[in-house]
Amino acid sequence: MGFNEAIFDGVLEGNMKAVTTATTAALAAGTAAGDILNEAMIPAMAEVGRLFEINEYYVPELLISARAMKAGLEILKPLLVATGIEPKGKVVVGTVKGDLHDIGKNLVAIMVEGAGYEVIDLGVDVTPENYVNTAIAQGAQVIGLSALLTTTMPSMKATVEALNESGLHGKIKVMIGGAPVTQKYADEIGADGYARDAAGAARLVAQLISG
Amino acid sequence: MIKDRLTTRERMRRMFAHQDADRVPVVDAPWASTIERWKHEGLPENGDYEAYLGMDRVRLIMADNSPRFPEDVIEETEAYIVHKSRWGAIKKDWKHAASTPQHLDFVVKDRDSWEKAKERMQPDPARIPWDMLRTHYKGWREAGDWISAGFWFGFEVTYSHMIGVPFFIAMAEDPEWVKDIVTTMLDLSIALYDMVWEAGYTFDQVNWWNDMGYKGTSFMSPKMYRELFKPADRKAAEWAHRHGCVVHYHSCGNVSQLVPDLIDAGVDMLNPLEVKAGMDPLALKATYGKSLAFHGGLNAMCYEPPEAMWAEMQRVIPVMMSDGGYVAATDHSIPDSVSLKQYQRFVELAKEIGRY
Repeated sequence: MGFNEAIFDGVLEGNMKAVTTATTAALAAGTAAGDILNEAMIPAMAEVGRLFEINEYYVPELLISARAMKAGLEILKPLLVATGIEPKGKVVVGTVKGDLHDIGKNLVAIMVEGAGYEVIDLGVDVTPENYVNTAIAQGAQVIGLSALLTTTMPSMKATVEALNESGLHGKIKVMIGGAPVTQKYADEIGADGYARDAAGAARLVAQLISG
Repeated sequence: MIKDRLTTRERMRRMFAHQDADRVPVVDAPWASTIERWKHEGLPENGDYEAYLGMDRVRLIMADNSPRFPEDVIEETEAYIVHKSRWGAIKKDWKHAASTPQHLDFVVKDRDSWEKAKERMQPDPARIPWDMLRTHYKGWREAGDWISAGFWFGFEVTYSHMIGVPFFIAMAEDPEWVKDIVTTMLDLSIALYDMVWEAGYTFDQVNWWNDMGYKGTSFMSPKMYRELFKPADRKAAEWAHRHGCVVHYHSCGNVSQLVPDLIDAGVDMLNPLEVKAGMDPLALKATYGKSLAFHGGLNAMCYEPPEAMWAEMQRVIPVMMSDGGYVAATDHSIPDSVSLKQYQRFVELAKEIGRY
């Protein structure tokens, strides 16, 4: 079995040790860090996302896969930085103002990071201004908003409006998701996309950034 | 308005037995912030919305099966409180707005810290609210209220209140630990309610809360539910049925694919049938209505405008109530965007449409 295959399988199985062993061995054998990331780790997490969407993987399986990938990524990171390989883009995520729920947002962060993007996680109870200011300061291309409650959804609209006022909506896109959220609501408030689940969010980020 | 012919207890018994009654029971719960709003709109200061609105009453006996960690307030402002619970969760709660809490940390993080918590989980009569029972039980029975014993064990209490995200990892990698946690919690509940029952405070129903779903699907696969959590659900249901009680199971989110296993485990009634998560009350009734009773399923997203809720009630209640087996309620908690007047109309309409 080649190193990439071992890393791919290790991520899929949630086997942290297999991933770190194979990553170290691959680097020692001369494989470039960027190749390991793009040809093994990211495709593995994409497959995890696919299995998650078709209800073959659930949250426990997704989390151990993500943990395995993160462990391999920690080994790669210094090498990626040294060779100037950058994330495919930057995404700011958070749960909106007034809302303290975070599991959905955390799963989105995992899948988006697993797809090769840098995630800036603002946590919960995030104001519209904080999303927009952070996205501008960090050079993010996408803002991801999560809400659990109907009573906190209006903050999504307020965030879109704040982005409009900045003049940067278009350069920075907004995607939304959460239990009461729908595509219809996304269209109503002028968001650029709606994701039904974490795997869908990772695909949506790719679409929004590629334009 | 037509006068009720039955007490809540008589009505609920008939629903669980899939029989007609005078009308469907109406058992529903507002967020704390909703009650705060309603007090400004005419609800008496004691907050007794059930009496004020003429709803059915379910009385809860809640024995404490937690590790009883010392509770502590860590930070408090006008808007929120950060506190440690008796389950060892450090969490932030809004004081005046509806929300689930934000979990900041947990005392139990691994097997070692679990073993220390387990040592604290011993049967002790001091865990039972004897004063409350002595004061109120007789009145509940005389009023014909429905009395429920609240067990608490399983996925949700462990993930949300005791361990957090590492519990998901344990579910995948350390099933024996998961089963030990779940069994310990359940066995303590059983020991405590044995004491309650033997003291003469019998009850009609055993309920537990076990949110296993979210939008679109469940947190775990049916296979994982069967291995890790179903044996305890079955054991709890068997205890309930041996005592002549029925089983009321609360599980938010989309748990449709777990329903066959829940029925097999012995669940008699499922709540809340969260529509926005993808639960379809009418489809559930059609498929499982002979084996399972239902509580909830009236989509909270329909409260605005009010006419949408009235239409939804006309669509859902007549189907759900056929052959009994239905208790009317919002599909989770009544949001604080709903006025007291609007909810009063909800209760009236539920009784009108729900008349047999």
